Parts: sequence; C-alpha cells; structure tokens
Amino acid sequence: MPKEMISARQAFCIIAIFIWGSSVVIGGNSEAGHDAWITLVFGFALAVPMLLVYARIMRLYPEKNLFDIMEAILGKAGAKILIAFVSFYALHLCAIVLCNFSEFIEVVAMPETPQLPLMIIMMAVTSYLAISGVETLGRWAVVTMPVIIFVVLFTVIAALNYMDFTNILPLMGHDLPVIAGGSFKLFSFPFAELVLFLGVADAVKKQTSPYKLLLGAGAFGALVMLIVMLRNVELLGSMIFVEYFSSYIAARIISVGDFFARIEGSISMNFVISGITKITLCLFVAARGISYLFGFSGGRRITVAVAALTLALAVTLYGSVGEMFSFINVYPYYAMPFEVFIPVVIWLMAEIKTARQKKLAAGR
Amino acid sequence: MLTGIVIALFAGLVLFGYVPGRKKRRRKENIFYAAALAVSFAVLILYSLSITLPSPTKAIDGIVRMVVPIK
Repeated sequence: MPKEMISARQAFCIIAIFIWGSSVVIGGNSEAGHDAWITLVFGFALAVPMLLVYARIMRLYPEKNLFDIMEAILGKAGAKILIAFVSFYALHLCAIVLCNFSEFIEVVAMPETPQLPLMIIMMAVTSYLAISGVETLGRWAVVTMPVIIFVVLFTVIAALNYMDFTNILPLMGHDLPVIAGGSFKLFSFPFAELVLFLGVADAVKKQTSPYKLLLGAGAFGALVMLIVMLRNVELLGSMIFVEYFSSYIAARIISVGDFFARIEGSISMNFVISGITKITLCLFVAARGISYLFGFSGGRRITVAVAALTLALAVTLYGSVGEMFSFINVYPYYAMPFEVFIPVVIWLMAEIKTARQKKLAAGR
Repeated sequence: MLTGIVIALFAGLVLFGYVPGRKKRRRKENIFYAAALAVSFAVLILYSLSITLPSPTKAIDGIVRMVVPIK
C-alpha cells in the first residue's frame, strides 16, 4: 500500500482543529475569570518551546512517525516501554475528549439520554475516519476548518450588541499564581497535546517546514481560541468562571433580530466537528502505537478494537460533569511525562545520535 | 435498554468487524482484537447494569496528589 501523505495545508488544518478540540466549547473555564484570555496568551507562550522540540524531532527524522523515531533511537526492544506510555496517553486522551463530548450533549441538550449511545455514535464516526487513513482526515480537516471559523466569527459579530467591553477590566485583576496556574493548564490542554501529532508525522512531506507548520498552526489555533475566550468574557463577565460550557452559555445570549435565535446550536456543531478530528487523531495514534508495541502489520486492522477499548475506558472515567472539570486541575501534572519528559528525552537522544552519525560520516 | 444496546453493538462488531477480517489479519492481531472486544464488552455490560466500576481517573488523581500539592 503506498504511503499516505498529507499536504502542508491539510496538516495545518488538522493541528489547528486538534487544538480547538474540546476547548472551543469548554472555553475559558478558569479560576482566572475575566483574565482567562491572558492565561491563554501565556499558555501559548509556554507551549512554544515544546512546539520547537516537536518540530526539531520532525526535522531530525523527516517522514518518520514518533514510534519509528523511538525504535530508531532506542532499538525495537528498548522503545517498547515509551511506545506503551504514548499509546496509553493517546487512548486516554481519546476517552477524555469522548467524555467531554457526551457530557456536553447531556448537560445542554439531552439530559435524559444516557451517554453511552452518544459515545457509540461518536466512536462509530471517528473509527470510520481513522480506518480511512490520515489522508482522509486531512481532507476532512480542510473542509471543516472554514465552517468552524465561520461559526466563531458569526457568533462574535452577532454578539457585538450584547458585549460589555469593560468585562475584561481590570487587566491582571487576579493574582499572579492564579494566572500562572491557568496558563499551565492551557499549556497542557490543549497545546502540548500536539505531541500526538508526531504519531502521524510520517505523513507530512519532508519539504514542509515542521517549524512553520507547528508554530504557525499553533499560533492560528491560539488566535481563534483567544477570539472565543474574549467573546465569552465580554458576554459573561465573571460568570465565565461559574459556567461549565462557557461558549455554549455565551452563545445563548445572542439573537439576531426577531428571526434568528438559538445560535448556540452552531457552537454544538463546532464541538462535534472539532471533537471528531481530535478523537480520530488520538484513536489513529493509539491504534498505531499498539500495533508497534505488539508487532502488528498496521494500526488500521485493530482500529475498531481500540475504539471499543476507548469506549470502555470512557464510561469509567468520570462519575459526573463536576468530576470531569475537577480533573482539569490534575491533568497538567499527569500529562507532563507524555507531553514534556518523553519528547525532550527523545529529542536529546536524537540530537546525540545525529551528531555521532555526522561525525562518523565526516571521519570517512 | 442499555444492556440491549451493548449486546447489539458487540454482536455487530463481531459479525461485521471481527469475523470478515479474520483471515486478512495475522494470528496475533486476531488475539488482540478478540481480547479487546472481550474486555470492552465486559466493562460495558457491567456499566449498563449500573454496576460501579473503578475509575482510572481517581487512581491518577490520587497518584498525582501524592506527588504534587494541588488545591
């Protein structure tokens, strides 16, 4: 089977939508309240060094995915432990986003519907997309990105009459530890989760600059999230801290004349689109990682089995929506090994190995 | 109702997912596939019967809070 490749544009769209993931709807639920948008700016700034590390790994091993790189550096046997960790992280994140999705639908639209059927439908769609391959995911991302942006911009323009621009004042009204804590959470969820994109980095053509790709898409994703957060703050003010799904609640305020209301449905659509992309990528990487771990011929053949495992994990994760949001406080520390330590170790070992190879080549 | 949905789902997965692809997959892949479906089926059946299952989130939460002082 010919190797699947995606264009720079497709990769850009996948990364940007992956960043939006569940954050587009969960919005700025932060103790920083009206300073949530400042935490986003700092959170992205914190993430830039990690994005540079991820890009450097891609530059050192062009057209190779994270698992190939681990095997190249540590050997097949040595890489198994790290592959197991990354695969588990991908599987867990897939389950987390699936839970975000089902809790959202239950809380805002269908409180009497059990979450399991919603999760099954979501997993059926994402499994199909994952089995179709990363090229199909890239095409999906290119088509759906303008839809997401249109909805965001439309809700901003429609909300202008309802916005209170003084809601962002006073700037830096919260203590520095609160803002730092919020920034750290946003660094971890969603920016540093881009480590999982390395699982499909072999589909990115080597002519594509990984620095431009990751930093550019990361910045674009952060910009759209900033617009979303500012919209939510201007509409909700300090209530942004109280509400679970601030984007959805903010959109409920909006109506355009007497004929256009219930715009919050478009926010749900955004969540579905970006959730599908994020879950698909996580599922794809998890299946691929497991196939490397056990020496299978490819991730596609076991995608459905991995999706079933994700479903089983998702139903056991949280007892309530409160537990789900409470885990956001713990998540940055839990994710640190996967998002920071493992990539940094891989990067350092890759640099050493490449330097040695260059020395050997020069010596000949 | 939920139990019925789970049984129907896994019947579909076995009939339309596992069985047709069995010959194309290697033996190891088939073993993993069957094991994954079995584990998922067990967990989801218990969930559908409203049996409380241990949450990995609580375990992760406990471990992280042992190491890091989080409010």
